[in-house]
Amino acid sequence: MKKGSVCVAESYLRQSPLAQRALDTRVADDTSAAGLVLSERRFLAQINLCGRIDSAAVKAAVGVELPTKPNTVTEGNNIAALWLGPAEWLLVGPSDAEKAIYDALVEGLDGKSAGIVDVTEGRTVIRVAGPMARDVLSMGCPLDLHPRVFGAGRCAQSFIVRSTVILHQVDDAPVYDIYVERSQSDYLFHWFETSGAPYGVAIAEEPATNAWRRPPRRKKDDEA
Amino acid sequence: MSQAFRNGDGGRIDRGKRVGFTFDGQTYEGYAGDTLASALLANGVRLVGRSFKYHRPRGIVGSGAEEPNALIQLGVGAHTEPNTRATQIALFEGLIAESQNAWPGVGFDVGAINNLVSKVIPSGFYYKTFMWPAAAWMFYEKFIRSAAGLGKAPTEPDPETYEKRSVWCDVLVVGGGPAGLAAARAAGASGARVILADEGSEFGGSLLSSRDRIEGREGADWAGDVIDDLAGMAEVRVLARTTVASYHDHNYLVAVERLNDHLPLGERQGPRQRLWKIRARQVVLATGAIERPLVFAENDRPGVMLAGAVRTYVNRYGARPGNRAVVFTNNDSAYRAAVDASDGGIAVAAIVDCRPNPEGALIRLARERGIEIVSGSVISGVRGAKQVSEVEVAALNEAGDDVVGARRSFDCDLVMMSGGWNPTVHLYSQSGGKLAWNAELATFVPATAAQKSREAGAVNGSFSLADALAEGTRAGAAAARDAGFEVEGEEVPACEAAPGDGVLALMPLWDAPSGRKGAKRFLDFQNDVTASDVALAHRENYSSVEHFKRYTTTGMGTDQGKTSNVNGLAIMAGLRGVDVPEVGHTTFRPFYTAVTVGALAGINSGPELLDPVRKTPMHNWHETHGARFEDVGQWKRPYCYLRPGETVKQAVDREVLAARTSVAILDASTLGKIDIQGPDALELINRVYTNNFATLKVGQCRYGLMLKDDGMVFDDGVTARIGENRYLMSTTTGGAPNVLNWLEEWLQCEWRDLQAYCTSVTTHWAAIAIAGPNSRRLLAELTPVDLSNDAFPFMSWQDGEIAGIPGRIFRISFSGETGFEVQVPASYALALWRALMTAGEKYSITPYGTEAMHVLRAEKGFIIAGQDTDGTTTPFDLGMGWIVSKKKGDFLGKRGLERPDTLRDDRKQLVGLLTEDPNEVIPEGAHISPSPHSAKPVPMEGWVTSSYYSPNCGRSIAMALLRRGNERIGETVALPLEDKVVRAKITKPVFFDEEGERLRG
Amino acid sequence: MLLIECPHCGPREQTEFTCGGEGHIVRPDPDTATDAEWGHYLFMRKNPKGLHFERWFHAHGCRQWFHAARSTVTHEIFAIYGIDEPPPAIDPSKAGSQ
Ligand SMILES: [Zn+2]
Repeated sequence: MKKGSVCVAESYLRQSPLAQRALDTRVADDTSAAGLVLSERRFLAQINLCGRIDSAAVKAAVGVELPTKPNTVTEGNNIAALWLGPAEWLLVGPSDAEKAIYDALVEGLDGKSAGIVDVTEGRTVIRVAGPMARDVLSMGCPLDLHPRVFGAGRCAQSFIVRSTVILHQVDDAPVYDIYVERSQSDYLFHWFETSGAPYGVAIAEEPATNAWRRPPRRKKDDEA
Repeated sequence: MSQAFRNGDGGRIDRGKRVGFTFDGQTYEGYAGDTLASALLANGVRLVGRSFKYHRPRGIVGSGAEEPNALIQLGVGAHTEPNTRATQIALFEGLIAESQNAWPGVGFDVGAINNLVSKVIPSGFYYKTFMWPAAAWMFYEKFIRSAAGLGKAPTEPDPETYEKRSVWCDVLVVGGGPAGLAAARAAGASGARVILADEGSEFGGSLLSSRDRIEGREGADWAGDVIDDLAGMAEVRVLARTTVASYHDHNYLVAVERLNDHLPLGERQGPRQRLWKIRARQVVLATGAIERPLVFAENDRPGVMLAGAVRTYVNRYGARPGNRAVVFTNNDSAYRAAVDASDGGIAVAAIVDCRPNPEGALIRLARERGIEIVSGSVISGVRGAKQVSEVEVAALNEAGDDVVGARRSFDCDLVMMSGGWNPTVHLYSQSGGKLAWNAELATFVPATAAQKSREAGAVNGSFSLADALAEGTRAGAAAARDAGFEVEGEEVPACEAAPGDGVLALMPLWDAPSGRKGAKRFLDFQNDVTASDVALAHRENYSSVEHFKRYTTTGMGTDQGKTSNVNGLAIMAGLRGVDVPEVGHTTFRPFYTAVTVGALAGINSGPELLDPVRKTPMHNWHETHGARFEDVGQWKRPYCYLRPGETVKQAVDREVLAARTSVAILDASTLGKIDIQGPDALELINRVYTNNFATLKVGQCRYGLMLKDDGMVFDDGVTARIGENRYLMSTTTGGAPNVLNWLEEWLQCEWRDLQAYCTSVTTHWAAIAIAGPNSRRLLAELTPVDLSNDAFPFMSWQDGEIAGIPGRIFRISFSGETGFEVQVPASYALALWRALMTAGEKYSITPYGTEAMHVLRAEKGFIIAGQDTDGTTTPFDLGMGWIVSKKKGDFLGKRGLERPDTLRDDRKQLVGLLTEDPNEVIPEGAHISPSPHSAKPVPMEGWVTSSYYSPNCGRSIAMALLRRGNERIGETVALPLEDKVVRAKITKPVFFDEEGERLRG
Repeated sequence: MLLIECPHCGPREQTEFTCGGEGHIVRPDPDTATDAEWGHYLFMRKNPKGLHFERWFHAHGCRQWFHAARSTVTHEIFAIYGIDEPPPAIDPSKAGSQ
């Protein structure tokens, strides 16, 4: 356990911060009429990386290259790497992969120059879609989300109303993943439902994720 | 009356759509496209309100945002809104409006007695009369407010919803008149992101009131075509009924879009208003100009209107504000209004012009219509109580400062006045732009812009249509170019305007003489300020612009002096014998017109959305188990858990006793947690804590105190060594973000060579504190970890599985009891909490809240940073000198603690207080004085920081910061409260188990 | 409300930032500093009308500190530069300094 903290407990014991909203019982058959389509992406693996990171080592360890351009996202091996700062990234993988990704990073990176922290439990992700997604976001978020400025593959830290968030634009539809601290997620979800109400809000099924697999390990000798 | 003053044709109203409405209880009919003002005028209603101070009868003066008189209480019940301008209220079926400031009604108004005694209420009256005695102000204020009040606020909650949006653009064009439309079209064609906003329901601005033609079409039709063009441009957003209300730094502007206000209640859908927070790369201000009234005797009679407004009512609404008009002017523009009024069915009896020899194309047009021009003259009196019936005209003397010769009278029911035009420079001025006095136009015009903005058209003092179109086109193109877009061609639309268009040839006439003493000459209609009031202010030396404004209240009404300011400044300049620019002008402040509080709040109102609510993973369990919550920052924390029939005190006492006698659990998830890694993690920790962490081994944890560099306590918490180069630091609940920011600030700004990485894990880990003599027994049932004292000593931690959940167990305690803190990944915390509650049943396990936690820690004398400290408290003040290392090198606050002020021996120090009456719980914050008999002023020697009833001690306990407290143990002090004086004995700040045997047991 | 160009994230609203006050304050050597010098370091700040070199923190963004040269009169920002960089040469009269 001292290598980090990961859960191997029975999954029925696990509860997302939006569990009380029982979103799975409210999933709409047809979301096409709604202006705003919301869903929760539960338990995504989230590893915070900071320090003097060797991007090639990250790529070798977990299969994704780190973005160097501010406020962008790279993807690889079912991990999304979000730029958070000039020396900080958030690696997001499928649920239940946090232990494997964390261990691979600890093994692959020089622990002296990197901070590697499992923050899976710290945030949840609200997926925001629908034709009014951009407009509803503009009701609380000060970012310029116009497609000329902010498109698919972009991320940014900012706030929505008064909650600190990370926005990740997933595609050009546009669909956004909003990372919010779990303690504030109920507030923010309520805010989305209220803000979107005049335009119709529907709950969508939780998007599926693909499994992460550890890249084949190369022997030390091969690298030399 | 059924629209007796409506012309049979003409105007932009839809005569096919009749609209019924109610004004002051009477029903009327108007047409779609009317404003409330135009519909009232069409129905012959002239009297629409009473003035603020003298309750004089008042009528409609203007046709837009400048209207000072026609303030309306719109709607009823929860929907009612005061101080709306009849000139800007779009008429809709079922509209209900009431005049304001009159009781019982505008026709007969009790307050009008003020008018009869107006000699005793001059300017400055309120200041002088109600200032003494000061204690009576509370009484006066109530009286003044009810007598003076402008409209009534609704008493019910607002049933409407509002929306706010942030929007960025390349070019924002404010104003949809000819200049703004030309600018938007030029900018939009470049592909730039353009927003065009206009406060009106229809675009066109002055074109809607004129008969000018552009590109071969009527101006209004051209405006409609431009709007259609703009609608076809993907990146252009056209906002009608949208007032750009304020202009802030770095091209940040706020606009309010009225989405529903023009619709009958039953047809309204969605938000009522939308607040746009606009960040524009470039701004084009095409805000137009507002006509200036003339100041002359009795110019406030209902029926005295701005000439241009009359032109608007006739041309745009087909409504005649009267049947027989006299025009009074000092410039050419009123002739144009006279001509249009005449063509629109109003007999123009005369044009009274103060200029000796008015000449020019517009004057010829008036003459062609047979209108008599009385030059070199002024209106010296207006008769008619509730409506103008006659004006008196007199010739000016050569100096222009008095009237001479015989007076002539003209019968009329309408006076059209024009004193020139003031560019609408409000937003320009808010942006920081400097104004310059234009002597030819006798007004302020934009000079040097302060931000990335341009002005076009009448706001520049360019009053002709051709100039407006040319300036608009140029400004729009240049703005797009400066925003980085290519502009091809800059064709200025061709126009055919009336001859003499834009020519004023103005002769200043700031205060028309009447030859009659005591005749009131109003300059601010809404606040009842007359030319004599300006003179009084001048005599009493309130002659600087800001003093004069407040002394006379010029421009302080809801219209913000849109029609009155320049006249007031010019009159003051005349009295002082200086030019107007030397008097200067007051500051133009947001908002241009009033913005509803609802629009500013948006949906973020009420307890649920006003501020983020932070909840722990166990929140819903707490909620269903009687928790009464308290706010700790944004967190909701259970204060206590109420059982049926229990009082709060009973619940807290029960929880406190449970922790000392059996076992109790606390949701401690809100405590801040920071993961610190890297080769220099220890060095960082050693530099921010006062005590030494170098000796801390993996598996141990230690309490630390953090100081600001001045030596004052900032935060505290327990830090555990998790690995060779890895620590987990805990902070107070409220201090979590501050501590993380603090660490990052030092790492980035001062200690750039340190390799240490800080990551917040506050919400990743949930925490449960388990306290009490049975805590070990309980926890042992749920974990394979050996919890015995030898295997798991105080201030150590171990990884382990608890109730099947992998987590960490810490042997720490904030209650002073044998205790553990268990941390698990947050999404498993509820499961763990439930498991503890179930397993603990046999020990009568008790969940406890923050108040019991406070009592438990206070019994032990443990401080809370931020409650028992206040940013001026050192560790020594707290009696915690033991935690300040004398051996280790520099740390934050070390040098600060050595400053002479920090070493003073008369500082306030933390002590305990025991009241003489053991049941008396002193309110926190109570001040401490040496004796109940101290002479006044009573010396205040400190205050109570924490105070509780302690069921374990069987009495009240308190902690306090007291001057020289350490040397005064055993003394008695007095605490003067609101209704009594409480006496208490000073003790050491620890009340229970001083040796700490229970803690380590 | 200011629009601040974060050196990493580009132009962002002021609400995303916190201002850290005067920049380039040197922390004296605690072992040799006199009480007066230490007091000056802790408490004394310039309050200029005009050009001001100050520190900002992109708190709700990339969480990086940087410097800004700003006019306290017009709020115009003349330069944004690194937290470890010296102040650039700027004509103070441009910033309304007196
Ligand atoms: Zn940034």
